This record gives sequence, structure tokens and C-alpha cells, in this order.
Amino acid sequence: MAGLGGVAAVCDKMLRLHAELPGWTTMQRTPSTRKLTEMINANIDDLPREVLLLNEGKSLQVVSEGNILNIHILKTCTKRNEEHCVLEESEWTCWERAFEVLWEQKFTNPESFNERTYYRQRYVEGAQVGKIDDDVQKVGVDRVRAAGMLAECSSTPEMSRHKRTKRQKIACREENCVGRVKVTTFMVFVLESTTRVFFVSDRIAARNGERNNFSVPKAVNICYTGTVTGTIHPTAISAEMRQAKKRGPCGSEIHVDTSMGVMQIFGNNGGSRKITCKAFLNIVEANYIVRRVCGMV
Amino acid sequence: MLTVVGACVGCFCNMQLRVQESSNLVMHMLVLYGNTGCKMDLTCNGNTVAVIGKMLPECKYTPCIEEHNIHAIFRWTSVWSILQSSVRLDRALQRGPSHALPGVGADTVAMPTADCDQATSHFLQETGLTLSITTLGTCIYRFGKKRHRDPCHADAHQQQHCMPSHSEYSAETEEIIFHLCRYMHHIITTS
Repeated sequence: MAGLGGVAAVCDKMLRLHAELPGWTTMQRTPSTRKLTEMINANIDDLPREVLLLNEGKSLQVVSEGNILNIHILKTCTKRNEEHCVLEESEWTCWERAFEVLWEQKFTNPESFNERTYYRQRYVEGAQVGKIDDDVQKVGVDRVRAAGMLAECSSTPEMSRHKRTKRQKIACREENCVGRVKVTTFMVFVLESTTRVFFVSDRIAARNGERNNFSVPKAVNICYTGTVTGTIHPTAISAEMRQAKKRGPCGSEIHVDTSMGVMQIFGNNGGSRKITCKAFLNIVEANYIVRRVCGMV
Repeated sequence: MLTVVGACVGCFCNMQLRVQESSNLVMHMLVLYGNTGCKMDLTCNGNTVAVIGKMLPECKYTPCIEEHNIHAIFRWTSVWSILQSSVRLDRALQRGPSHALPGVGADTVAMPTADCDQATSHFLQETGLTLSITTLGTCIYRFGKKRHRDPCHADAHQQQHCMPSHSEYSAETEEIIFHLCRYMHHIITTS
């Protein structure tokens, strides 16, 4: 339980990019960069704090029980708005039988339609996930060893792509399964000039992600000033407009509330009256309201 | 539908404003809201200060005060200077990548050049900009008209009040301001 009266600090782990200019930048929020942040949050203890990017990029790998996490940082972007992150997720299943180790890679990204690829691993007795003559090990899937072995062998000559035979298809049953590994790969494309990345904690965490997405600036409140001349009978107008008070807000005599904004008419000053149009989104709408009110004569 | 304190405009036939003419409206405050979509380094020696210092004219910077607020403030007394600097930047980009600034490509939001009329130019010279940026990337651009401070006048409070200007203001002027804002947002987001 948190201390009485204490406020728990909300921290978010994030990836900070350092390049030519002082300070740091982050990548724009997208569904993939959100997953990257979630991954950093979950694995912050296993990730290095700082990664130097001397050449064209750097790869990191975190192997844990039943999971492999790959992070490839690639310096390919010439502009900051090209920076992005690609996420690839796959589930690997290993079968071991009759001096043969077979792996199935099933892509789990929604756009991959559960595509499956098979690999055969070079068999070395005793080095595999389970021992074929040991029933206990065969039943209890050794997830830790499976992840370690996959991390060691994938993308090496130890493992070759393979078209599964009919006999292997029959053999790939649950009782022959010796391990399952979830592999998550992030490809992070950053500016060419990036020199370092930091995995750090940020004290300020965004609770409402959607609100903090990129948006082009849009007008939210524009106020205008102008003058009108003519004979105005404020009392009659106030009554007509059911203005409760004798005067409108901000010292105005007349207050016209519209769906486009508010128009206020101030006191007579030598035959001329100041008007303000508040909370409009553009001058075209403000002019329209002024014309409309002035036209009511 | 236009409503006036709950009543339809059509019910205004009894109102006798008898307004014969009106001067053109002039903007005295214009607020735009946008988001960079990424977290911002707003410290004195941080990236945002460096980018703004490099890409935009000189401004007054007020840093975030730890534990109190999470936004930094940048103030320009004249948005005309930003418009002019953007024209210079556009020319630099046209001269080739060696003149371009890091991270800024030719697809930078093109600025309306200094072709605007004298009235618009005068208006923009008199208009200031206060940009507030939060660490989460929220940007509030506040354009405002203020009278220039004149030390000869005793009533400083009165001087700070927004007063209507005699400058011409039109939809074109407003469009230039919107465009200028998008340009600045692009600089802050992508540089």
C-alpha cells in the first residue's frame, strides 16, 4: 500500500534519441511506438541504459523464459518525420523426434494471416531442448532452453528453411513438442545523424494516448474587435434577447450568443460603439455574425 | 442555426439596432492548438530550444519550472520576423542540401512569401506570438495584438491591454497566420 498521503510517481519508460543538436528527441506516437514503449516498460531492467550508434545501426536481444525480444535500430532516415518503428511478432514451436529438431514459425501480426514457415535444426545429441528418451522432459516443455537455443541458432547455418514432409507433419504433435517461444522484433528506423539512444524513465506519463497524437495546429479561439455606428436601444434589445442583467459580461451593453461565437456591443462613445467577437474560429464567420446583427434594423 | 439567447434569428424582427455601418473587424487574439505527437525536451540546453534557436528568429524563452508547470514558453514580439526568416530558409533549401539545416527537407511546409500587401505586413509586424509547449507535445500558439510599450506613458497596465488596431485585417491575413503556424509546427515537429 502506498504511504498515507503520499503520491506515487508515475513513470513511463521511453526511448530517447540523441543526434547532432543538443538534447534529445522521441519518435512520433503511433501504434507501433506505443508497443515499443510498452516493451521498454516491461524490460527496462534487461535493457542497457545507453546504446551508441557508431555505424549504420545496432541490434539488441533480450532472451527470457519463452520469449525473445529483438530490437534493431537502423540509421536510415534523412528527416525526423521519416522516423518510425515496425513491429513483427511470431510464435515458434519446436518438435524433437528421432534425431530431428523441427521448428515452426507462425507470424502473429494481423496482416500476416498466420503464415507459417518451417526450419530444420542441425541435430547434436544432448544439445537439444528435450531428450528424446526422457519422458519427463518431453512432457514438461523446457521453455527457457527453447528460447536460448532459438536465439543461438536462428539466422545461422545451424537452422535451415525446410519444407515439411508428410511424415514430419504427423510427428509434429503436441506430445512431441518440446518448446514454444514468442519472438518480438522491433525495427526502429531513426535519423542517420543519430549518435546514441537511451532507454530511460520519464516522470511524466501520458494517460490519454489519443489526445497526444500528432495534430496540425487548428484555431480554437479567435477574438476580434471592431466598431459600429447607429442608433441602438440597449434596453429594448436586452429585453428582446432576454438578457437577465441590465448589461452583458465584460462591461458590454449587448451580448449576442451564437453557435459560431459571441458578439458583444459596448457603450456609446460619441456615436460609435466598440464591438468584440469572441470564441470564433475564423473571420469569415465573425463577419457573417456582425453583418447579420447589423442587418436587423 | 444562429441562436440569440435561445431565440432564433428569425425572431429578431422587432429588434431595432439601426446600425448604419461597421468598421472592419480586427483580430486581437488568435489561439491555435496542435500536438507534436512526441515527447519534448524543453530544458534550457534541450533539443526544442536548440531547434527553435537555429530555425526561427530570436525569441524570449521561459523554461519549465520543475514541479510547477510542464510547459515552456517562447515569445516573439513580431510574427513578421518569423515570416521573413521562413522565406530565407526556403531560399536556403532551394540552394541545395549543403545550405539546408539538419532534418529539414525540401518538403518543409512552404511559406507564403513576403508578397503580402502592405496592410498585412504592417499588421503582422504589430502582432506577437506566444508559444507554449508541454513535455507531452501539446502546443498552444497565441497570436496577439499589443500596444508597444512606451516608457513615456505612466500607465503601464493600460498599455498592456489589447487595443484595436487601425491595421487592415482580412481573411488573407488570417490565412497567412494559420499558414505561419503550420510552418512553425512543422519545424518544431520534424527538425
